Amino acid sequence: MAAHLPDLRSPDWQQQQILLVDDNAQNLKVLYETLSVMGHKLLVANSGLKALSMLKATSVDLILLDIMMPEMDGFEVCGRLKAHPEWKNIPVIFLSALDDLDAKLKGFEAGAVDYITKPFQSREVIARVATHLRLRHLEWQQALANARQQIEWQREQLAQVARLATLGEMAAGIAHEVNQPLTAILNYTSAAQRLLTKPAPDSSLLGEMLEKLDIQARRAGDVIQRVRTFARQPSGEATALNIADVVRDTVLFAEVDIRRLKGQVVTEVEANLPSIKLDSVQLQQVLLNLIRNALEATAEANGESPVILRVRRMGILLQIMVEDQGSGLRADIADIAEKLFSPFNTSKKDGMGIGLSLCHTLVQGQGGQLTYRPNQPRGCRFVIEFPLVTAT
Amino acid sequence: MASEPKVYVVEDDEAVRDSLMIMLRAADYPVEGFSSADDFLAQWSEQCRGCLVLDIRMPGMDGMTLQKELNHRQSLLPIIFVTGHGDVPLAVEAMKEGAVDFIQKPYAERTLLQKIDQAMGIDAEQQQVLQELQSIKERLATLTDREREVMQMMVEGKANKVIAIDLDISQRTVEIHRARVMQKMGTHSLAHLVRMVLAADQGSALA
Ligand SMILES: Nc1ncnc2c1ncn2[C@@H]1O[C@H](COP(=O)(O)OP(=O)(O)O)[C@@H](O)[C@H]1O
Ligand SMILES: [Mg+2]
Repeated sequence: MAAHLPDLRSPDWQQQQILLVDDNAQNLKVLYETLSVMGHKLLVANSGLKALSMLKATSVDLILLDIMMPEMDGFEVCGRLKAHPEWKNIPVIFLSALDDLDAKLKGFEAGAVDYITKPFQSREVIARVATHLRLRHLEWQQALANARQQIEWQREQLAQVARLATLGEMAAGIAHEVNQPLTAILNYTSAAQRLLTKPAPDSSLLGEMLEKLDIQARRAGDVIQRVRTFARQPSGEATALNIADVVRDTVLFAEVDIRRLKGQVVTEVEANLPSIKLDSVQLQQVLLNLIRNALEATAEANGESPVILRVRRMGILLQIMVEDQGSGLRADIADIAEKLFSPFNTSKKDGMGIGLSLCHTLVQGQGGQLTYRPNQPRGCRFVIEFPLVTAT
Repeated sequence: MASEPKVYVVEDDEAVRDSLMIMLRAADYPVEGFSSADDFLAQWSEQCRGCLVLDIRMPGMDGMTLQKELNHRQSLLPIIFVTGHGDVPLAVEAMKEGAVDFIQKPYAERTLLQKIDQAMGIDAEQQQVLQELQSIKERLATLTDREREVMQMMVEGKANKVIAIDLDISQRTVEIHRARVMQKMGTHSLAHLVRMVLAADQGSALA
Protein backbone atom coordinates (compact mmCIF):
# COMPACT_ATOMS: atom_id res chain seq x y z
CA MET A 1 0.00 0.00 0.00
CA ALA A 2 2.71 2.43 0.97
CA ALA A 3 4.26 2.31 -2.52
CA HIS A 4 1.00 3.68 -3.94
CA LEU A 5 0.88 6.61 -1.59
CA PRO A 6 1.10 9.89 -3.44
CA ASP A 7 3.89 12.28 -2.83
CA LEU A 8 2.52 14.20 0.10
CA ARG A 9 4.52 17.26 -0.87
CA SER A 10 2.18 18.25 -3.69
CA PRO A 11 -1.23 18.65 -2.11
CA ASP A 12 -2.12 21.89 -3.84
CA TRP A 13 -2.95 21.79 -7.47
CA GLN A 14 -1.52 25.23 -8.15
CA GLN A 15 1.80 24.04 -6.78
CA GLN A 16 2.16 21.17 -9.18
CA GLN A 17 5.46 21.11 -11.03
CA ILE A 18 5.93 20.39 -14.71
CA LEU A 19 9.22 19.21 -16.17
CA LEU A 20 9.97 20.14 -19.79
CA VAL A 21 12.60 18.03 -21.55
CA ASP A 22 13.94 18.96 -24.99
CA ASP A 23 17.47 19.14 -26.44
CA ASN A 24 16.52 22.17 -28.50
CA ALA A 25 16.78 25.40 -26.52
CA GLN A 26 14.41 27.22 -28.83
CA ASN A 27 11.73 24.56 -28.34
CA LEU A 28 12.19 24.74 -24.60
CA LYS A 29 11.78 28.48 -24.66
CA VAL A 30 8.52 28.32 -26.64
CA LEU A 31 7.12 25.59 -24.38
CA TYR A 32 8.13 27.51 -21.29
CA GLU A 33 6.41 30.66 -22.47
CA THR A 34 3.31 28.80 -23.55
CA LEU A 35 2.86 27.03 -20.22
CA SER A 36 3.92 29.82 -17.92
CA VAL A 37 0.44 31.39 -18.25
CA MET A 38 -0.96 28.43 -16.30
CA GLY A 39 0.82 29.49 -13.15
CA HIS A 40 2.53 26.17 -12.40
CA LYS A 41 6.11 25.85 -11.52
CA LEU A 42 8.12 24.87 -14.61
CA LEU A 43 11.41 23.01 -14.65
CA VAL A 44 13.51 22.51 -17.77
CA ALA A 45 16.12 19.96 -18.82
CA ASN A 46 17.94 19.81 -22.14
CA SER A 47 18.79 16.11 -21.99
CA GLY A 48 17.32 12.87 -20.72
CA LEU A 49 20.10 12.41 -18.20
CA LYS A 50 19.59 15.89 -16.77
CA ALA A 51 15.88 15.22 -16.51
CA LEU A 52 16.52 12.04 -14.53
CA SER A 53 18.93 13.72 -12.18
CA MET A 54 16.44 16.54 -11.56
CA LEU A 55 13.83 14.01 -10.57
CA LYS A 56 16.10 12.80 -7.84
CA ALA A 57 16.10 16.27 -6.32
CA THR A 58 12.49 17.32 -6.66
CA SER A 59 9.04 15.94 -7.17
CA VAL A 60 7.32 16.43 -10.49
CA ASP A 61 3.68 16.02 -11.44
CA LEU A 62 3.91 15.96 -15.21
CA ILE A 63 6.69 15.54 -17.78
CA LEU A 64 6.68 16.85 -21.33
CA LEU A 65 9.26 14.75 -23.08
CA ASP A 66 10.82 15.23 -26.51
CA ILE A 67 11.43 11.96 -28.35
CA MET A 68 14.31 12.81 -30.60
CA MET A 69 17.28 13.63 -28.40
CA PRO A 70 20.97 12.71 -28.71
CA GLU A 71 22.49 10.17 -26.29
CA MET A 72 19.25 9.16 -24.53
CA ASP A 73 16.06 9.48 -26.51
CA GLY A 74 12.60 10.07 -25.07
CA PHE A 75 11.57 6.39 -25.24
CA GLU A 76 14.53 5.39 -23.14
CA VAL A 77 13.95 8.18 -20.62
CA CYS A 78 10.34 7.07 -20.35
CA GLY A 79 11.40 3.42 -19.97
CA ARG A 80 13.64 4.35 -17.08
CA LEU A 81 10.91 6.40 -15.44
CA LYS A 82 8.47 3.52 -15.63
CA ALA A 83 11.05 1.19 -14.12
CA HIS A 84 11.56 3.43 -11.12
CA PRO A 85 9.26 2.82 -8.13
CA GLU A 86 8.88 6.48 -7.21
CA TRP A 87 8.67 7.89 -10.72
CA LYS A 88 6.59 5.31 -12.49
CA ASN A 89 3.32 7.11 -11.78
CA ILE A 90 4.39 10.47 -13.11
CA PRO A 91 2.40 11.09 -16.28
CA VAL A 92 4.52 11.61 -19.40
CA ILE A 93 3.40 13.47 -22.54
CA PHE A 94 5.59 12.90 -25.61
CA LEU A 95 6.46 15.77 -27.90
CA SER A 96 7.60 15.02 -31.39
CA ALA A 97 7.67 16.20 -34.93
CA LEU A 98 7.22 12.57 -35.94
CA ASP A 99 3.60 12.49 -36.82
CA ASP A 100 3.44 8.84 -37.67
CA LEU A 101 1.24 6.28 -36.02
CA ASP A 102 4.11 3.89 -35.17
CA ALA A 103 5.94 6.51 -33.15
CA LYS A 104 2.76 7.41 -31.27
CA LEU A 105 2.02 3.79 -30.53
CA LYS A 106 5.56 3.21 -29.38
CA GLY A 107 5.16 6.20 -27.07
CA PHE A 108 1.98 4.84 -25.52
CA GLU A 109 3.60 1.43 -25.17
CA ALA A 110 6.46 3.05 -23.30
CA GLY A 111 3.85 4.29 -20.81
CA ALA A 112 3.05 7.81 -21.99
CA VAL A 113 -0.39 9.23 -21.25
CA ASP A 114 -0.53 11.51 -24.29
CA TYR A 115 1.24 12.67 -27.41
CA ILE A 116 1.61 16.16 -28.84
CA THR A 117 2.82 16.78 -32.37
CA LYS A 118 5.19 19.59 -33.13
CA PRO A 119 4.72 22.29 -34.17
CA PHE A 120 1.99 22.58 -31.58
CA GLN A 121 -0.93 24.90 -30.99
CA SER A 122 -0.54 26.70 -27.64
CA ARG A 123 -4.18 26.17 -26.72
CA GLU A 124 -3.90 22.48 -27.40
CA VAL A 125 -0.78 22.10 -25.26
CA ILE A 126 -2.37 24.05 -22.42
CA ALA A 127 -5.59 22.04 -22.65
CA ARG A 128 -3.78 18.69 -22.61
CA VAL A 129 -1.45 19.68 -19.81
CA ALA A 130 -4.37 21.00 -17.76
CA THR A 131 -6.30 17.78 -18.26
CA HIS A 132 -3.45 15.57 -17.15
CA LEU A 133 -2.63 17.73 -14.18
CA ARG A 134 -6.25 17.61 -13.11
CA LEU A 135 -6.27 13.84 -13.48
CA ARG A 136 -3.09 13.61 -11.52
CA HIS A 137 -4.60 15.77 -8.83
CA LEU A 138 -7.75 13.67 -8.64
CA GLU A 139 -5.68 10.51 -8.44
CA TRP A 140 -3.70 12.07 -5.70
CA GLN A 141 -6.82 13.05 -3.77
CA GLN A 142 -8.22 9.58 -4.18
CA ALA A 143 -5.01 8.01 -2.95
CA LEU A 144 -4.96 10.39 -0.02
CA ALA A 145 -8.52 9.48 0.90
CA ASN A 146 -7.62 5.80 0.69
CA ALA A 147 -4.58 6.35 2.83
CA ARG A 148 -6.67 8.21 5.39
CA GLN A 149 -9.14 5.39 5.46
CA GLN A 150 -6.33 2.93 5.83
CA ILE A 151 -4.87 4.87 8.74
CA GLU A 152 -8.29 5.15 10.34
CA TRP A 153 -8.77 1.41 9.96
CA GLN A 154 -5.35 0.63 11.39
CA ARG A 155 -5.99 2.95 14.31
CA GLU A 156 -9.24 1.18 15.04
CA GLN A 157 -7.53 -2.21 14.83
CA LEU A 158 -4.84 -1.05 17.20
CA ALA A 159 -7.45 0.33 19.58
CA GLN A 160 -9.31 -2.97 19.47
CA VAL A 161 -6.14 -4.97 20.15
CA ALA A 162 -5.34 -2.64 23.03
CA ARG A 163 -8.85 -3.05 24.47
CA LEU A 164 -8.47 -6.80 24.41
CA ALA A 165 -5.02 -6.51 25.98
CA THR A 166 -6.50 -4.34 28.73
CA LEU A 167 -9.19 -6.94 29.31
CA GLY A 168 -6.45 -9.56 29.52
CA GLU A 169 -4.64 -7.56 32.17
CA MET A 170 -7.88 -7.10 34.04
CA ALA A 171 -9.04 -10.71 33.67
CA ALA A 172 -8.17 -11.81 37.19
CA GLY A 173 -9.92 -8.79 38.62
CA ILE A 174 -12.97 -9.32 36.45
CA ALA A 175 -13.10 -12.96 37.55
CA HIS A 176 -13.07 -11.69 41.12
CA GLU A 177 -15.91 -9.27 40.39
CA VAL A 178 -18.04 -12.15 39.12
CA ASN A 179 -16.87 -14.52 41.82
CA GLN A 180 -18.16 -12.34 44.64
CA PRO A 181 -21.84 -12.39 43.65
CA LEU A 182 -21.55 -16.07 42.68
CA THR A 183 -20.23 -16.89 46.12
CA ALA A 184 -23.06 -14.97 47.72
CA ILE A 185 -25.61 -16.72 45.50
CA LEU A 186 -24.29 -20.15 46.47
CA ASN A 187 -24.31 -19.21 50.15
CA TYR A 188 -27.90 -17.97 49.99
CA THR A 189 -29.11 -21.08 48.16
CA SER A 190 -27.35 -23.44 50.59
CA ALA A 191 -28.90 -21.54 53.48
CA ALA A 192 -32.34 -21.60 51.86
CA GLN A 193 -32.14 -25.35 51.31
CA ARG A 194 -31.25 -25.88 54.94
CA LEU A 195 -34.01 -23.56 56.14
CA LEU A 196 -36.54 -25.49 54.09
CA THR A 197 -35.68 -28.73 55.91
CA LYS A 198 -36.62 -27.13 59.23
CA PRO A 199 -40.04 -27.88 60.72
CA ALA A 200 -41.39 -24.34 60.31
CA PRO A 201 -39.33 -22.51 57.67
CA ASP A 202 -39.25 -18.76 58.16
CA SER A 203 -40.95 -17.67 54.98
CA SER A 204 -40.23 -13.99 55.43
CA LEU A 205 -36.51 -14.74 55.75
CA LEU A 206 -36.74 -16.94 52.67
CA GLY A 207 -38.47 -14.15 50.77
CA GLU A 208 -35.78 -11.72 51.80
CA MET A 209 -33.12 -14.14 50.59
CA LEU A 210 -34.82 -14.50 47.22
CA GLU A 211 -34.61 -10.75 46.81
CA LYS A 212 -30.95 -10.79 47.74
CA LEU A 213 -30.34 -13.62 45.26
CA ASP A 214 -31.92 -11.53 42.56
CA ILE A 215 -29.68 -8.57 43.37
CA GLN A 216 -26.54 -10.72 43.30
CA ALA A 217 -27.45 -12.40 40.02
CA ARG A 218 -27.92 -8.97 38.48
CA ARG A 219 -24.64 -7.82 39.94
CA ALA A 220 -22.82 -10.65 38.16
CA GLY A 221 -24.72 -9.90 34.98
CA ASP A 222 -23.73 -6.24 35.14
CA VAL A 223 -20.05 -7.14 35.28
CA ILE A 224 -20.42 -9.30 32.18
CA GLN A 225 -22.34 -6.51 30.48
CA ARG A 226 -19.59 -4.01 31.21
CA VAL A 227 -16.98 -6.35 29.76
CA ARG A 228 -19.11 -6.77 26.64
CA THR A 229 -19.59 -3.07 26.22
CA PHE A 230 -15.91 -2.43 26.62
CA ALA A 231 -14.79 -5.17 24.26
CA ARG A 232 -17.22 -4.49 21.48
CA GLN A 233 -16.00 -3.15 18.17
CA PRO A 234 -17.05 0.49 18.10
CA SER A 235 -19.50 1.48 15.41
CA GLY A 236 -17.06 4.17 14.34
CA GLU A 237 -20.01 6.50 14.59
CA ALA A 238 -20.15 9.30 17.04
CA THR A 239 -23.44 9.45 18.89
CA ALA A 240 -24.72 12.08 21.26
CA LEU A 241 -23.34 11.00 24.63
CA ASN A 242 -24.21 11.81 28.17
CA ILE A 243 -20.71 12.23 29.58
CA ALA A 244 -21.86 11.56 33.13
CA ASP A 245 -23.02 8.07 32.08
CA VAL A 246 -19.76 7.25 30.35
CA VAL A 247 -17.80 8.42 33.38
CA ARG A 248 -19.94 6.35 35.75
CA ASP A 249 -19.61 3.20 33.62
CA THR A 250 -15.87 3.63 33.27
CA VAL A 251 -15.33 4.04 37.00
CA LEU A 252 -17.45 0.93 37.66
CA PHE A 253 -15.27 -0.93 35.22
CA ALA A 254 -12.12 0.42 36.85
CA GLU A 255 -13.35 -1.10 40.13
CA VAL A 256 -11.20 -4.10 39.27
CA ASP A 257 -8.02 -2.02 39.40
CA ILE A 258 -9.26 0.07 42.28
CA ARG A 259 -9.41 -3.13 44.31
CA ARG A 260 -6.15 -4.53 42.99
CA LEU A 261 -4.24 -1.33 43.71
CA LYS A 262 -6.26 -0.43 46.78
CA GLY A 263 -6.94 2.95 45.32
CA GLN A 264 -9.87 5.27 45.07
CA VAL A 265 -11.49 7.25 42.29
CA VAL A 266 -13.56 10.33 42.98
CA THR A 267 -15.65 11.87 40.21
CA GLU A 268 -16.71 15.48 40.00
CA VAL A 269 -19.01 15.89 37.06
CA GLU A 270 -20.60 19.30 36.53
CA ALA A 271 -24.39 19.17 36.39
CA ASN A 272 -26.32 19.85 33.18
CA LEU A 273 -23.48 19.24 30.78
CA PRO A 274 -24.62 19.30 27.18
CA SER A 275 -24.43 15.99 25.35
CA ILE A 276 -21.55 15.64 22.93
CA LYS A 277 -21.08 13.56 19.81
CA LEU A 278 -18.31 11.05 20.41
CA ASP A 279 -17.63 7.36 20.07
CA SER A 280 -18.45 6.00 23.52
CA VAL A 281 -16.26 2.88 23.32
CA GLN A 282 -13.20 4.91 22.43
CA LEU A 283 -13.90 7.52 25.08
CA GLN A 284 -14.29 4.80 27.69
CA GLN A 285 -11.02 3.25 26.59
CA VAL A 286 -9.20 6.57 26.90
CA LEU A 287 -10.63 7.30 30.35
CA LEU A 288 -9.91 3.78 31.60
CA ASN A 289 -6.30 4.03 30.43
CA LEU A 290 -5.77 7.34 32.17
CA ILE A 291 -7.47 6.15 35.36
CA ARG A 292 -5.41 2.95 35.44
CA ASN A 293 -2.17 4.87 34.94
CA ALA A 294 -3.17 7.26 37.71
CA LEU A 295 -4.05 4.41 40.09
CA GLU A 296 -0.76 2.68 39.31
CA ALA A 297 1.24 5.85 39.88
CA THR A 298 -0.57 6.46 43.19
CA ALA A 299 0.07 2.92 44.35
CA GLU A 300 3.71 3.17 43.33
CA ALA A 301 4.12 6.25 45.51
CA ASN A 302 2.18 4.54 48.33
CA GLY A 303 -0.16 7.50 48.04
CA GLU A 304 -3.43 7.79 49.88
CA SER A 305 -5.05 10.52 47.81
CA PRO A 306 -7.78 9.44 45.43
CA VAL A 307 -7.59 9.80 41.69
CA ILE A 308 -9.89 12.64 40.69
CA LEU A 309 -11.89 12.64 37.49
CA ARG A 310 -13.31 16.06 36.79
CA VAL A 311 -15.64 16.96 33.95
CA ARG A 312 -16.68 20.52 33.26
CA ARG A 313 -17.61 22.96 30.59
CA MET A 314 -15.12 25.69 29.71
CA GLY A 315 -16.81 27.97 27.22
CA ILE A 316 -17.02 26.06 23.98
CA LEU A 317 -14.89 23.20 25.32
CA LEU A 318 -15.77 20.10 27.27
CA GLN A 319 -12.91 19.40 29.64
CA ILE A 320 -12.19 16.03 31.20
CA MET A 321 -9.32 15.87 33.68
CA VAL A 322 -7.71 12.89 35.33
CA GLU A 323 -5.55 13.93 38.26
CA ASP A 324 -3.47 11.97 40.70
CA GLN A 325 -1.06 12.63 43.54
CA GLY A 326 1.14 9.73 42.55
CA SER A 327 4.77 9.26 41.63
CA GLY A 328 4.68 11.81 38.80
CA LEU A 329 6.31 11.29 35.44
CA ARG A 330 9.71 9.69 35.54
CA ALA A 331 12.32 12.22 34.42
CA ASP A 332 13.32 10.38 31.24
CA ILE A 333 9.71 10.27 30.07
CA ALA A 334 8.81 13.78 31.18
CA ASP A 335 11.60 15.64 29.39
CA ILE A 336 9.89 15.86 26.01
CA ALA A 337 6.16 16.07 25.53
CA GLU A 338 6.25 14.11 22.25
CA LYS A 339 7.96 11.24 23.98
CA LEU A 340 5.18 10.93 26.52
CA PHE A 341 2.62 10.34 23.79
CA SER A 342 4.76 8.20 21.54
CA PRO A 343 4.46 4.44 21.93
CA PHE A 344 6.64 2.00 23.84
CA ASN A 345 7.76 4.36 26.57
CA THR A 346 7.10 2.58 29.79
CA SER A 347 8.51 2.67 33.29
CA LYS A 348 6.59 -0.43 34.32
CA LYS A 349 7.87 -3.97 34.54
CA ASP A 350 4.87 -5.39 32.70
CA GLY A 351 3.97 -2.19 30.88
CA MET A 352 3.51 -2.09 27.14
CA GLY A 353 3.70 1.68 26.88
CA ILE A 354 0.99 1.99 24.29
CA GLY A 355 -1.73 3.38 26.54
CA LEU A 356 -0.93 7.07 26.32
CA SER A 357 -0.02 7.08 22.65
CA LEU A 358 -3.30 5.37 21.88
CA CYS A 359 -5.23 7.82 24.07
CA HIS A 360 -3.58 10.66 22.19
CA THR A 361 -4.52 9.25 18.78
CA LEU A 362 -8.04 8.33 19.80
CA VAL A 363 -8.74 11.76 21.25
CA GLN A 364 -7.30 13.47 18.19
CA GLY A 365 -9.22 11.17 15.90
CA GLN A 366 -12.39 12.49 17.52
CA GLY A 367 -11.43 16.11 17.10
CA GLY A 368 -10.12 16.60 20.63
CA GLN A 369 -6.83 17.20 22.32
CA LEU A 370 -4.98 15.40 25.11
CA THR A 371 -2.39 17.29 27.10
CA TYR A 372 -0.29 16.69 30.17
CA ARG A 373 0.53 18.99 33.07
CA PRO A 374 2.19 18.28 36.39
CA ASN A 375 -0.34 18.23 39.20
CA GLN A 376 0.03 20.20 42.44
CA PRO A 377 1.66 19.41 44.80
CA ARG A 378 2.69 16.18 43.05
CA GLY A 379 1.55 13.69 40.50
CA CYS A 380 0.09 14.08 37.04
CA ARG A 381 -2.84 15.74 35.41
CA PHE A 382 -4.06 14.69 31.99
CA VAL A 383 -6.54 17.00 30.30
CA ILE A 384 -8.83 16.05 27.44
CA GLU A 385 -10.66 18.79 25.59
CA PHE A 386 -13.38 18.38 23.00
CA PRO A 387 -15.09 21.26 21.22
CA LEU A 388 -18.80 21.38 22.08
CA VAL A 389 -19.82 22.56 18.62
CA THR A 390 -22.21 19.79 17.68
CA ALA A 391 -24.08 19.71 20.95
CA THR A 392 -27.67 18.65 20.37
CA MET B 1 -14.10 -17.15 81.61
CA ALA B 2 -13.59 -18.20 78.00
CA SER B 3 -16.29 -16.87 75.66
CA GLU B 4 -18.53 -19.20 73.67
CA PRO B 5 -16.84 -20.61 70.55
CA LYS B 6 -18.11 -19.06 67.32
CA VAL B 7 -17.23 -18.48 63.72
CA TYR B 8 -15.80 -15.01 63.21
CA VAL B 9 -16.31 -13.86 59.63
CA VAL B 10 -14.14 -11.02 58.31
CA GLU B 11 -15.17 -10.07 54.77
CA ASP B 12 -15.46 -6.65 53.19
CA ASP B 13 -17.99 -7.60 50.54
CA GLU B 14 -21.33 -6.99 52.16
CA ALA B 15 -23.22 -9.60 50.10
CA VAL B 16 -20.62 -12.31 50.62
CA ARG B 17 -20.51 -11.58 54.34
CA ASP B 18 -24.29 -11.42 54.77
CA SER B 19 -24.87 -14.62 52.79
CA LEU B 20 -22.13 -16.50 54.61
CA MET B 21 -23.50 -15.50 57.98
CA ILE B 22 -27.03 -16.54 57.02
CA MET B 23 -25.69 -19.83 55.74
CA LEU B 24 -23.72 -20.54 58.91
CA ARG B 25 -26.66 -19.59 61.11
CA ALA B 26 -28.91 -21.90 59.09
CA ALA B 27 -26.37 -24.64 59.83
CA ASP B 28 -26.62 -23.72 63.53
CA TYR B 29 -23.19 -22.15 64.00
CA PRO B 30 -22.88 -19.12 66.26
CA VAL B 31 -21.50 -16.36 64.01
CA GLU B 32 -20.18 -12.87 64.27
CA GLY B 33 -19.36 -10.78 61.21
CA PHE B 34 -16.95 -7.91 60.59
CA SER B 35 -16.57 -5.78 57.48
CA SER B 36 -12.90 -4.99 58.04
CA ALA B 37 -9.79 -6.34 59.70
CA ASP B 38 -9.66 -3.23 61.89
CA ASP B 39 -13.17 -3.84 63.23
CA PHE B 40 -12.23 -7.37 64.13
CA LEU B 41 -8.97 -6.39 65.80
CA ALA B 42 -10.80 -3.74 67.83
CA GLN B 43 -12.88 -6.40 69.56
CA TRP B 44 -10.38 -9.27 69.55
CA SER B 45 -9.23 -10.65 72.89
CA GLU B 46 -7.36 -13.74 74.04
CA GLN B 47 -10.75 -15.05 75.05
CA CYS B 48 -12.00 -15.38 71.48
CA ARG B 49 -12.84 -19.03 70.79
CA GLY B 50 -13.83 -20.88 67.67
CA CYS B 51 -12.29 -19.95 64.35
CA LEU B 52 -11.78 -17.09 61.96
CA VAL B 53 -12.99 -17.18 58.35
CA LEU B 54 -10.91 -14.46 56.75
CA ASP B 55 -11.03 -12.92 53.28
CA ILE B 56 -7.48 -12.68 51.99
CA ARG B 57 -8.09 -9.59 49.83
CA MET B 58 -9.65 -6.55 51.41
CA PRO B 59 -9.19 -2.82 51.06
CA GLY B 60 -7.41 -1.28 54.02
CA MET B 61 -5.78 -3.99 56.13
CA ASP B 62 -5.86 -7.23 54.15
CA GLY B 63 -6.23 -10.75 55.50
CA MET B 64 -2.52 -11.54 55.50
CA THR B 65 -1.72 -8.43 57.50
CA LEU B 66 -4.45 -9.24 60.02
CA GLN B 67 -2.97 -12.73 60.39
CA LYS B 68 0.48 -11.28 61.12
CA GLU B 69 -1.01 -8.89 63.68
CA LEU B 70 -2.88 -11.73 65.39
CA ASN B 71 0.30 -13.86 65.42
CA HIS B 72 2.08 -10.91 66.97
CA ARG B 73 -0.59 -10.80 69.67
CA GLN B 74 -0.12 -14.56 70.15
CA SER B 75 -3.67 -15.35 69.16
CA LEU B 76 -4.36 -19.07 68.88
CA LEU B 77 -7.61 -18.64 66.96
CA PRO B 78 -7.39 -20.97 63.93
CA ILE B 79 -7.72 -19.13 60.61
CA ILE B 80 -9.35 -20.35 57.41
CA PHE B 81 -8.47 -18.05 54.53
CA VAL B 82 -11.01 -17.39 51.83
CA THR B 83 -9.24 -16.73 48.56
CA GLY B 84 -10.26 -15.72 45.10
CA HIS B 85 -9.21 -17.04 41.78
CA GLY B 86 -5.43 -16.91 41.40
CA ASP B 87 -4.65 -16.26 45.05
CA VAL B 88 -3.11 -19.68 45.66
CA PRO B 89 0.45 -18.35 46.12
CA LEU B 90 -0.88 -15.97 48.78
CA ALA B 91 -2.73 -18.81 50.43
CA VAL B 92 0.42 -20.91 50.54
CA GLU B 93 2.22 -18.08 52.26
CA ALA B 94 -0.65 -17.74 54.72
CA MET B 95 -0.39 -21.46 55.51
CA LYS B 96 3.32 -21.01 56.22
CA GLU B 97 2.33 -18.30 58.68
CA GLY B 98 0.17 -20.84 60.48
CA ALA B 99 -3.26 -20.66 58.87
CA VAL B 100 -5.03 -24.01 59.30
CA ASP B 101 -6.63 -24.05 55.87
CA PHE B 102 -7.85 -22.08 52.90
CA ILE B 103 -10.81 -22.28 50.59
CA GLN B 104 -11.40 -20.78 47.16
CA LYS B 105 -14.47 -18.75 46.24
CA PRO B 106 -16.99 -19.85 45.22
CA TYR B 107 -17.03 -22.86 47.55
CA ALA B 108 -19.40 -25.71 48.29
CA GLU B 109 -21.18 -25.36 51.62
CA ARG B 110 -20.13 -28.84 52.71
CA THR B 111 -16.44 -28.17 52.08
CA LEU B 112 -16.50 -24.95 54.06
CA LEU B 113 -18.41 -26.50 56.95
CA GLN B 114 -15.93 -29.39 57.11
CA LYS B 115 -13.05 -26.98 57.29
CA ILE B 116 -14.83 -24.94 59.96
CA ASP B 117 -15.52 -28.06 62.02
CA GLN B 118 -11.92 -29.07 61.76
CA ALA B 119 -10.71 -25.60 62.76
CA MET B 120 -13.10 -25.47 65.71
CA GLY B 121 -11.85 -28.93 66.70
CA ILE B 122 -8.27 -27.69 66.67
CA ASP B 123 -9.28 -24.71 68.79
CA ALA B 124 -11.08 -26.93 71.30
CA GLU B 125 -8.05 -29.22 71.57
CA GLN B 126 -5.76 -26.27 72.06
CA GLN B 127 -8.07 -24.98 74.76
CA GLN B 128 -8.03 -28.31 76.53
CA VAL B 129 -4.25 -28.46 76.42
CA LEU B 130 -4.07 -24.91 77.69
CA GLN B 131 -6.50 -25.64 80.49
CA GLU B 132 -4.54 -28.72 81.53
CA LEU B 133 -1.37 -26.71 81.48
CA GLN B 134 -3.10 -24.05 83.54
CA SER B 135 -4.23 -26.55 86.14
CA ILE B 136 -0.77 -28.14 86.28
CA LYS B 137 0.70 -24.71 86.88
CA GLU B 138 -1.84 -23.97 89.54
CA ARG B 139 -0.97 -27.25 91.30
CA LEU B 140 2.75 -26.64 91.00
CA ALA B 141 2.22 -23.28 92.65
CA THR B 142 0.89 -25.01 95.78
CA LEU B 143 4.16 -26.91 96.37
CA THR B 144 6.63 -25.73 99.03
CA ASP B 145 10.24 -25.13 98.02
CA ARG B 146 11.37 -28.35 99.61
CA GLU B 147 8.56 -30.31 97.93
CA ARG B 148 9.59 -28.78 94.59
CA GLU B 149 13.20 -29.87 95.19
CA VAL B 150 12.11 -33.40 96.00
CA MET B 151 9.82 -33.46 92.95
CA GLN B 152 12.65 -32.36 90.65
CA MET B 153 14.81 -35.25 91.89
CA MET B 154 11.91 -37.71 91.61
CA VAL B 155 11.41 -36.66 88.04
CA GLU B 156 15.12 -37.16 87.39
CA GLY B 157 14.53 -40.75 88.54
CA LYS B 158 16.49 -40.64 91.81
CA ALA B 159 15.61 -43.16 94.52
CA ASN B 160 14.41 -41.95 97.98
CA LYS B 161 17.70 -43.04 99.51
CA VAL B 162 19.70 -40.91 97.08
CA ILE B 163 17.41 -37.92 97.55
CA ALA B 164 17.75 -38.24 101.35
CA ILE B 165 21.55 -38.19 101.09
CA ASP B 166 21.60 -35.32 98.55
CA LEU B 167 19.28 -33.15 100.63
CA ASP B 168 20.76 -34.34 103.92
CA ILE B 169 17.39 -35.36 105.37
CA SER B 170 15.98 -38.64 106.57
CA GLN B 171 14.52 -41.12 104.14
CA ARG B 172 11.28 -40.96 106.13
CA THR B 173 11.04 -37.22 105.54
CA VAL B 174 11.63 -37.79 101.81
CA GLU B 175 8.76 -40.27 101.81
CA ILE B 176 6.45 -37.71 103.43
CA HIS B 177 7.41 -35.01 100.87
CA ARG B 178 6.97 -37.49 98.08
CA ALA B 179 3.45 -38.40 99.19
CA ARG B 180 2.54 -34.69 99.49
CA VAL B 181 3.82 -34.00 95.97
CA MET B 182 1.80 -36.83 94.52
CA GLN B 183 -1.28 -35.72 96.40
CA LYS B 184 -0.97 -32.03 95.49
CA MET B 185 -0.31 -32.86 91.84
CA GLY B 186 -3.34 -35.14 91.86
CA THR B 187 -1.71 -38.32 90.61
CA HIS B 188 -0.59 -41.76 91.72
CA SER B 189 1.80 -42.44 88.89
CA LEU B 190 5.36 -41.22 88.62
CA ALA B 191 5.12 -41.41 84.81
CA HIS B 192 2.16 -39.01 84.88
CA LEU B 193 4.04 -36.62 87.11
CA VAL B 194 6.99 -36.63 84.74
CA ARG B 195 4.70 -35.79 81.86
CA MET B 196 3.06 -32.93 83.76
CA VAL B 197 6.41 -31.41 84.72
CA LEU B 198 7.67 -31.64 81.16
CA ALA B 199 4.45 -30.08 79.84
CA ALA B 200 4.72 -27.25 82.32
CA ASP B 201 8.37 -26.62 81.33
CA GLN B 202 7.50 -26.61 77.65
CA GLY B 203 4.38 -24.56 78.22
CA SER B 204 6.32 -21.89 80.05
CA ALA B 205 9.00 -22.01 77.36
CA LEU B 206 6.23 -21.28 74.82
CA ALA B 207 4.76 -18.40 76.77
N1 LIG C 1 -0.50 9.23 35.91
C1 LIG C 1 0.80 8.95 35.71
N2 LIG C 1 1.72 9.16 36.68
C2 LIG C 1 3.04 8.87 36.46
N3 LIG C 1 3.53 8.35 35.33
C3 LIG C 1 2.66 8.11 34.33
C4 LIG C 1 1.26 8.38 34.45
N4 LIG C 1 0.65 8.05 33.29
C5 LIG C 1 1.64 7.57 32.48
N5 LIG C 1 2.83 7.60 33.10
C6 LIG C 1 4.14 7.21 32.55
O1 LIG C 1 4.01 7.05 31.16
C7 LIG C 1 4.37 5.73 30.77
C8 LIG C 1 3.55 5.30 29.59
O2 LIG C 1 2.20 5.07 29.96
P1 LIG C 1 1.30 4.15 29.05
O3 LIG C 1 1.44 4.61 27.65
O4 LIG C 1 -0.09 4.12 29.61
O5 LIG C 1 1.98 2.73 29.14
P2 LIG C 1 2.15 1.71 30.38
O6 LIG C 1 1.09 2.09 31.38
O7 LIG C 1 1.91 0.37 29.76
O8 LIG C 1 3.54 1.89 30.88
C9 LIG C 1 4.19 4.89 32.01
O9 LIG C 1 5.00 3.75 32.03
C10 LIG C 1 4.55 5.87 33.11
O10 LIG C 1 5.96 5.91 33.26
MG1 LIG D 1 -1.01 2.48 31.00
